[in-house]
Amino acid sequence: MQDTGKNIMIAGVGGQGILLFSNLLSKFYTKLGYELKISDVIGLGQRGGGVESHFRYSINPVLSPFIKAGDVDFLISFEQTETLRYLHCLKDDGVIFSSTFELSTSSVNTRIEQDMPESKTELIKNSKNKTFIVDPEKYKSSEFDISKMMNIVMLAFYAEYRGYSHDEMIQIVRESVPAKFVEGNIKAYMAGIQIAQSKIESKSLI
Amino acid sequence: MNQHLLLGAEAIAMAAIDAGISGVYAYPGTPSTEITEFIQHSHIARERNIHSTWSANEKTAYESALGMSYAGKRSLVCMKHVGLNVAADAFMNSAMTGVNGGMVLVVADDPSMHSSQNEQDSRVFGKFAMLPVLEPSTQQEAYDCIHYAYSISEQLQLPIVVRISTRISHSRAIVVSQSIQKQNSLNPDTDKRKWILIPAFARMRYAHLLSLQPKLLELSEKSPFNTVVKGNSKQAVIAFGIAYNYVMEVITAHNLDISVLKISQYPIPHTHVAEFLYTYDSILIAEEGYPVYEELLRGFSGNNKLRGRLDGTLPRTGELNPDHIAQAFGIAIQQEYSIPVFVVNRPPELCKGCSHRDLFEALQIVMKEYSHNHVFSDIGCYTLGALKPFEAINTCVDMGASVTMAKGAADAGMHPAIGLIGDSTFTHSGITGLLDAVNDKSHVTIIISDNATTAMTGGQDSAGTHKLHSICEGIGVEPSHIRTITPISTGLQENIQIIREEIEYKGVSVIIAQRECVQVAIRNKKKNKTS
Repeated sequence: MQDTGKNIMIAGVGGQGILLFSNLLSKFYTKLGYELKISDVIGLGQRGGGVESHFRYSINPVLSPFIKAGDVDFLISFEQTETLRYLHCLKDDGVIFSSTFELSTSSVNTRIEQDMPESKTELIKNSKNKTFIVDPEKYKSSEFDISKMMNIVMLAFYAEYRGYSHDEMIQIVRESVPAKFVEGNIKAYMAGIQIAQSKIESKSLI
Repeated sequence: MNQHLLLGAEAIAMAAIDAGISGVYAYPGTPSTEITEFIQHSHIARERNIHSTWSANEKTAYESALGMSYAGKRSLVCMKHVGLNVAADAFMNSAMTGVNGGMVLVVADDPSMHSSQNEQDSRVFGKFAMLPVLEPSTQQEAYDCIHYAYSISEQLQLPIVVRISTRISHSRAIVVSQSIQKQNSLNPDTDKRKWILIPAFARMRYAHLLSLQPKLLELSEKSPFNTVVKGNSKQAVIAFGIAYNYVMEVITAHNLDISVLKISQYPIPHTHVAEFLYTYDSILIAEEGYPVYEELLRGFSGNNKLRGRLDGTLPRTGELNPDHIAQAFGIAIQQEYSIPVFVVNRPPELCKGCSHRDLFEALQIVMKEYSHNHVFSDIGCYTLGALKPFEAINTCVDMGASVTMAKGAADAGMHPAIGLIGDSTFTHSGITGLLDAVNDKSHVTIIISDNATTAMTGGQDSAGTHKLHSICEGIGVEPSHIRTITPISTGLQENIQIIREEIEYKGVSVIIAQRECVQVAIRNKKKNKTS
């Protein structure tokens, strides 16, 4: 069956390369001939606020730049509080890809609010959706810190899950990042494939 | 024909380059900033010598664009909605003079106030000036309407308003571009009666502007941007600009049989609107922004066929979205989606290491010594000083108001009267207020928090960098009361002392708190590393 289009919600905090992530993904879908609409709600991300990107691709023209709550097929999140913030937007069969990274919010730091006592990772795992959790600390080594390149790791993870061509994705990364960063990014991408293969039992091919 | 994945803002910028502009003039302001930045970073723009440096404020930007048009070339001027308030004098009167080379004003509204102090609707300004307004609904339309705008601008000899909003500006889609046009050659307008708005000439110009109105209407009637989607039921929608997308999203998703009149060019096309009002029993008016045309179409006696923001069918304020439209069509939203209460918020905050933090710390210690401890502040990153943990400011109204409100409060007898303003906001609209204070010998202390950039909008050049001291001296502030401090924790005691002294000085004092924005510092470091 042909994939007629999906809604992807990308979430995180400023400085995590979310814009690059959605740019790379957009080039991939453009090459496949899809129509796109991507709405980046960066707001005051640079000043500690959240970042969300509504990413929609379809074989038909994409009209609204928003993904309606309840209409998200894939939630790709780079920060746990942000994962929880968008859980309610998922379809019943929506899939979560979430990093265990956590950045405490300024409202918690200044004691306006108290953070939840429960483990966020557990809450995410216990959601009714299919969930993949990646702990960057677990895959960090002395010579290579993937935690700084989770955007590329997650791109590889998502591509593996969707059964996309890694060669094509790597080619897009190669064409899109400055020459001196290509090698590091490809290394992160390869790490992403490995992590994905260790976690994914069955791929979603549409 | 080339395909590009572009933000709405970038589609406008690319279209303006392709339409042969010779310059863009702007002051940064969300959600309009990316238009000018795209032109600044464009190789083609550089090769073609297109002017793109920032202006000191929206008024200077507007007038420069008008001057370029006078000289015969095509110009673009961009601003956020509240920026048009600053440029309003130039804007309104440019409708009287008209233009020579094509001139387009792109004004980016911010409904829901994502990063603005109000959600005023610039279409009202367009109507006020009696100018054509275009309101694209997609990125492609944003691109196309700029080409069209330049062509009708030169045909009508009027400036054209293009109104966009946050969602169009900040979402990406694929845009097909056209071939690039030559720039106009220098061809200054010699008609003095057009450009010198003394009363005798101005009356003629006003009559001329009025005489053009039927022509504007005719253009709207046959505009490629005003279209009809035919349905067979007695229900209809008149959808303006981006609202059209939300309407079509819902109609497509739910297979509804509803006619839609899409309006993206103003004045509104009378024939189409009249036909809709006559034909359908129930008409939803979907406007992003104020219910400007809903109010007009309802009229004084009301029209009970119409539904929209005024009767509660749609929310009275804020951005529209597909859910609002679905509910207006009576489609029940199956599930109430909301963020669980246990998820903490992530409000913005001043960056770690930001100079404003150290300034607030020193200022708050001093202010605790006074019973009236009000700080009149302004628009910029330092407005975040309103939030915890600082809660250090009392006002934020409009660009430059810190200086003049402090002056007025001082005139009323308040002491201390502190105006806290950023460097870019100061050169935007603070200088004239400071001159008032100097001339009145008002007892104010103006603190310019100088991080040498326009930080809030992403670190654009600031017009006053390295000039602030001489500007203050030049307009008559006593040189011994222009103090420069470095807001840094190791200088806390010294800074407290200086602030104290200047508050106690009975006259105008200026404290320039100077330290580079940490974000710009990081960016410059990265740039040096890659080059």
